[in-house]
Amino acid sequence: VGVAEVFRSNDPAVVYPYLIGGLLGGFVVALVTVFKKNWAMVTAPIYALLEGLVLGALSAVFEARFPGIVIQAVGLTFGTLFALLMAYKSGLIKATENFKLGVVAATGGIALVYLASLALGFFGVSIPFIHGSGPIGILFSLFVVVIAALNLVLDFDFIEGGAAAGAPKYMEWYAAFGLLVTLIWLYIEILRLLAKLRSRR
Amino acid sequence: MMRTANPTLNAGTFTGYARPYGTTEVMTIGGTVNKTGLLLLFCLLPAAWVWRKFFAPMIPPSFIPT
Repeated sequence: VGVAEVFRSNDPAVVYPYLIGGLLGGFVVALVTVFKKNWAMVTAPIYALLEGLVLGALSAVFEARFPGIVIQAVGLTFGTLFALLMAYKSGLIKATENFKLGVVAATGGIALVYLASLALGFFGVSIPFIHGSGPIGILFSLFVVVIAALNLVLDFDFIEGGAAAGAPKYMEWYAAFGLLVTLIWLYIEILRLLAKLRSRR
Repeated sequence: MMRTANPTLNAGTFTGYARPYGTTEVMTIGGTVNKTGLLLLFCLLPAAWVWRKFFAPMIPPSFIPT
């Protein structure tokens, strides 16, 4: 045990209140934003602050277990954002109706698996393999990361469409909120994928 | 604009209408990019704060002189 470890608490209990508070508060504020889009100028910044608490807590706990994982996940998240932005601007990826339908369906499927996993968890049942670090767990995580990344294309399309249609100014805040939700999801899924890969060693 | 003989689609079809919102009140891509940057900053500040709380140096009770 090094000196530095002796002098640092690194206790998850220190940050759990922020994690839980941010998650619950963020969920409520996100719902308000979706139903009251013209409030986005106020609710989107509040959502960002609350999610910051969640990401700070989550990142710190992952970093303590797997040193260096956070900078990798941040780099990969922004790398993915700019790669897809270029692919979108160059016309390599087009948000056709079929593309959108596929991404929305896959996202809904993932949401169902997560909900089922959560519900079964209350009864002490866990869906085998998908949360583990075996090949199935890694492939599942990789699939979720790809779908989260493709959701970025839907956000780009939404922003471009809104600007082209002359949507009201507050929709800038709403579109930025949508992009932030996708980026946070992508970051968390990349973090989980990297953690699975590292716990194999 | 494309030239056409169709009298209902001449160059004047889209003129004479006021936009429903003033030009400064319409959503733009640039404005959305700026706001996304702001939201990322709003996200980073509390994240860094919680991170520092987690990794803050702690003085073990036995080290505190009584």
